[in-house]
This record gives sequence, structure tokens and C-alpha cells, in this order.
Amino acid sequence: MSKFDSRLRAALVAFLVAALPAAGAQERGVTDTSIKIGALGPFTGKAALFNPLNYGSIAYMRYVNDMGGVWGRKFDIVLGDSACAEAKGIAAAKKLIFDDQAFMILGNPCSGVAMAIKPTLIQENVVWSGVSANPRIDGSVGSGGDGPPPKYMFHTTPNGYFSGLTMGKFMMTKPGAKRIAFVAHTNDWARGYCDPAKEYIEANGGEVVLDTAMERGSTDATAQVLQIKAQNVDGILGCLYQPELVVLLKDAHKYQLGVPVIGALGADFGQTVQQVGNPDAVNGVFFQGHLYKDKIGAPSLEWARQILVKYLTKDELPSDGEPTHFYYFGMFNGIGVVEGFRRAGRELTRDTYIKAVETLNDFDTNLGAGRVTITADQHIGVSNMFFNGLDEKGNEVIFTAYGKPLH
Amino acid sequence: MRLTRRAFWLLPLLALPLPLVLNQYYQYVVNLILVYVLVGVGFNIVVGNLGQLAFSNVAFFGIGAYASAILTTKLGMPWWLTVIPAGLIGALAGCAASIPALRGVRLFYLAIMTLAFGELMRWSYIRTPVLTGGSMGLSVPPAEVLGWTLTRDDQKFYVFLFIVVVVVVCTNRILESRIGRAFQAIKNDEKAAAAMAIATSRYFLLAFALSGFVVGIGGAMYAALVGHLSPEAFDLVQLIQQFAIIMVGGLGSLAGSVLGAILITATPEIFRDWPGFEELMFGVVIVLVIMFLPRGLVSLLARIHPVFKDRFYQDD
Repeated sequence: MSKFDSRLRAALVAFLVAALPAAGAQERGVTDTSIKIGALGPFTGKAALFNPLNYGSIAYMRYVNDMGGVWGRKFDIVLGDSACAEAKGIAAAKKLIFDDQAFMILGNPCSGVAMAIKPTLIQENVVWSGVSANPRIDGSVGSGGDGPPPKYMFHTTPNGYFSGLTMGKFMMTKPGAKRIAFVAHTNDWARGYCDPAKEYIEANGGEVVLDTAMERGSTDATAQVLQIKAQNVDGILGCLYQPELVVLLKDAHKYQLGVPVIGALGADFGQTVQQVGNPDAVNGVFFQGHLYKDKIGAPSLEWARQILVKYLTKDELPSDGEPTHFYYFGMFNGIGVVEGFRRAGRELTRDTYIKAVETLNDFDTNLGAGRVTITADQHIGVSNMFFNGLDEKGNEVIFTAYGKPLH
Repeated sequence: MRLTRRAFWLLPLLALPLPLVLNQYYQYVVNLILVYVLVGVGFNIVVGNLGQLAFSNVAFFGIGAYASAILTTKLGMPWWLTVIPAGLIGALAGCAASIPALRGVRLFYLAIMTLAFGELMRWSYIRTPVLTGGSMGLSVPPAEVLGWTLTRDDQKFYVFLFIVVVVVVCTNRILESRIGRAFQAIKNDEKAAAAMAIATSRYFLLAFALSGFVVGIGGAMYAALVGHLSPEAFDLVQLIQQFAIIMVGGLGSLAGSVLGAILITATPEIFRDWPGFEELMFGVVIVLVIMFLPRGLVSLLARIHPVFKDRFYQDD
């Protein structure tokens, strides 16, 4: 071998050695020891009550970090505040993608923000696991969308389409239910729930006799309740956030409507009951979709509670230190996301990750009511759930259908 | 060397290389500032120059944004061809919003009526889903300019910068003309202006229309930038932000609108890494500026050099 050849070979080896780490670092947000996760959510603003949806996932990831991480990598979580406003949300997402170099974005309960950042996510091939309701975000044919799902976007939990559909199904299991009223916010989140519910009710012999609006920030639902009373309905679907759902329940009791009110997942069941503050207004009347396999506080879910309490700071937990339903909702998402990383193996790229997520078949989170199944054609993991309500004595009961308790 | 207002031309020239040094996040923030520059300039015409408490700006903004989005999605027009129509539709909305003022409604009554106009428009977006997508919102395809698709923020930047420079220069010309002087006369004393044979009604109409036009163009840019419009984006929080831009920047000052847009848009981003603190700082900045610089940030610059003083800007 000539001197020139050996120099050339040495240069080639040096180049390859230098190039190797660069090749390994090509995947945005992934190093040998860490995976950068962007947690996008409304940490400020009028929708800040949804931030436990992020904290639940974060708690689970911190727990996994404590257990040694996944394939030698730990989660490096960066928060992005969307304030639930499109312009701010895009800025937050772009910061996570271009500045923080996050591998994936998770959380974000705000549908408007999710729709606004969707083009950037697709253009930049960013992995996304959301909890937003709007079926057009990552739904496909059969889950509220109208085509194949976006390649790297998925829901571990149900989207608004399946949540709304389940609300409609639950309502129609009430014996004799025919005439149904809807009270909904005038935003995409609320329609994400109410529209599929309406579709189901009308396709199954029911009639939506009233679909009335209740604006965010409303402190009175007298007009809506009196409208409903005049229609002599068999039940009400409230596609409302928590503060307005509380107002509706209070006024429904005040005017003695005496029909069940089914709430959407935009309200925390326990907090709603607490804020109504009147057992007669909720016992046997208020029902809400329940994503978990048992009651919050049941022994079978104690492990999840322990993780939330241990891995979240005082500021991240409610003032009484007891995690509410939304925290478990967020954890549900976190478990699915982490399982994807486990299945993807050490050679982590966005393609190996999404392929791994698409192998989730009847996956038991040990937390959720429904098992997670994600395929290449269907990126919404769960399509069913239970409902919770209170019996006449005020005890929380999980129902599989109207009047049919789980236990 | 004597500093003249021609030096302002340097600003857009200095901004030209920004995409070379900014990533897509910072570039997006700069683009958002450009959108809010027009929003502030348009708002200032009615509030700062004409001196009327009229809060229909968010309506103009939403109308411009939806007009551009509808023309793009429903009629298949390329975005750049929707910019002027969005401005014109905004101007028409401005004419409509001026009706209470033309009928002699002033001060808080005008404020409430124009606020109601904004809320009415938000309801209209919700209740016309065929056009606007209703509550679910309307996704806007990527902006197209002369056959080029602007998918990246750096591409949008040059187009936005060009539009902002043209609109700000034209608005400046108008405000420095007989029309601007008439606005100023009406602001100082409406009855005296009428006594000086200034057709006040005509100038009211003109100011609202001009405001609607400028803000409507800002709306078209917003639609192209954000790519998804929902009625919630045009609520009272948006109005507070827009009002803060002109209050903090300086009422009746073009330079103030630019400064206000920069400060109000950038402040939350500077403090983004401390969630919650950004909201606090937003409030603190507004309170401090209004307490110590009641004529806005531009009054501070005007003290440093008179070049920052608009011809009819009063800092007394």
C-alpha cells in the first residue's frame, strides 16, 4: 500500500468516525441518553384548568426516568404554553420544534391550536400524541376524519368523535329516551363531541329537539334550562367546560328539570360535583364519560395515584394534593406514548416509533376502561369508555350503560 | 449628519437578512409582529388620529382574515390576490361600523356599540358554517404568491415585509395630507372643525374605512400566517391585545404602532420559558408604560430625537 493510499484510508476512517455521531444525531431530539419531549398545553389563560392533562403524562415519564428510562434514554420534558390560542400555540409549537428540537409533542387539549399547528407538524414530520377533541386533527375514516390519518400523529385516548359517540350511546340506553337536548359551547371542541353524538342519536331513533348555545364565561343558564323545559326532553348532553357545566347543573336543579345531564370530557367529574355543592343537583342526574377501568380512588388504580403524587410537584398538583380525573387522563396518554418507545427499540427514529405505535393491539394500560389499538389506518387508540355518576346516596358508581353499574 | 425621517427606510432594509439568522420559531414571531404592525396602524387611525373610542378593530381583523380564507378555500383564488379584496371588505365593514358615529354617537356609547359589532361578527362566523367552518374553524391552504407556495415562515416574511412597508408608507402619506389634518382637527375639536368647513361626517366615514382597509389586510396576513381560523381567535382577549399595542406604542403615532406591536407581541415570547410569568409581564409592561409614559413608548424616543415624532403627534 502506497503512502498516499494509507493517508487516504486514514482520512476516510477519520471522516467516517467524525460522521458517525452526526448520523446518530440526525433524529431531532434523540441522543444516546435522552429523548426530548415537548409538552404543549394551556399552562396559562382561561383554559389552564386542562393542564393536568399534560402533568399526568409528565408524571408517568418522570416515573419511567426514575426506573432507568427506555432503552437507556431518559425523557427530557420541555413545557410549551399554548394559552389555548392559535397564534400563541403556533409560537409554542415552533419553539418546541425548531428551538428546543423536540422529538415529539404530546398533550395539547386545545383543538383550535392543534388544527393550527397540524401543517407544521406534518411538514416537519414531528411525532404527535394529542388529547384534543376535534376529529379532523388525526381522525381518519371511521373516527371522524375523511381520509387516512396523518403519518406521525395519533391519539392514545379517544378523540372527540368517539367520546361524543359514546355519550350518544349512553343517552340512548336510557329506557324510553327519544327527545334529547344539547347545550354546547360555540367552539370546535364542543362540536367535536356534540356532532357525533347527534349523529348517533338521530341514527338510532332519537331526536335532537334542541341544540342551544352556552357561551364560555356564562354564569347563568336560566334561558337554556327554560328552553329545555319547554321541550319536555328525556335527557341533556352538555358539551361544556367545567365552569359552565356546573352552572347548567345548578340551574337544571333549580328549575326541577329532573332529567339526566351527560357531560363531556372537558370537565373533571369530581371537581364538577364538588363545585355544584348540592347532592340533589347531581345524585342520579349527572353522568360523565369515564376513561378508566374503575373509580378514581379504587384500589386497582392506587398505583397510578402513587405515581402522580410522587412525581408531581406541589405546584403541579391541586391545592389539596389529590390528583383529579384529568391527571389520570394525561397519564393514560403517557402510558401509550411510553409503550411506543419501548416497542420501537434502541434504534429510535420517527419511523421506527410510529411503526411501533401501530403495533399496539388490544394494549392494556392497566388504567383505561378501553384497550388501545392503533393501526396504520386508524390512529385513534380507544373508541369506548364507561360512564360515572352518583347513586341516590351520593356514592360514585361506574356504569357500562344507563342504569347498569360495572360492579 | 442630520437624521431625517428618510432614515426609517433603513429599518426594512436592515430586516431583510433576518431569515438568514433566525430559525422558524423566531421568524414566526417576527411575522406575527408584522401582522400586528398593520393591526396597530389601522386601529390608531380611528382611536389615535380621529380620537374616537371605537373598538371595532377585531371585527375588521376577523373580516379580513375570513375574507381572505374564504376567497382562497371556496373560490380557489391564490392568497396574494385576496389581500386587496380582504382590505376592501374590511373597509366596507369600517363604513358599517362608522354608522353609529355618523349618527352622533360618541365616547362610551360608541365604544359599547363598536364592541357589540365585534361580538356580532364573532357570532356570524359561528353561525355561517358553510362559509366560515363555524365553530370547527376554517383551515387555510398555504399562501400562494405568483405561483410560489409559501410554506415556510422565512418565505412569508419577505411578502409580509413588502406589504407592511407599502401600507405604512401609504398610510403615512394619507395622514400627512389634508385628510390627516382633517382627522386631527376633528380629534382636537369636532365642532370647531365643522365650523372650519371640514365635512366631519365624510372624514369619519373615511377614517373608519381606512382603518378597516389596513386592518383587513392585516387579517389576510394573519390567515396566511396561522393557517387556521376559529371564531375564538377574534374575541375580547384579542381586542385587549390590540388596544395594548396602540396604548403602549403611542396613540396617533405610526412609529408607536410599530413599537407597540413589537413590544406586545415579543414580551410573552421572551418570558415563554416561565409559564405564568409571561402573563404577569404583559400586564406589568402595560401598567408601567401607561403610568410613566402616558403618551406611549414613542414619546420616549421623541424626547431623544424629534425624528420619531409624527407630524401631528402631540406629546404634551
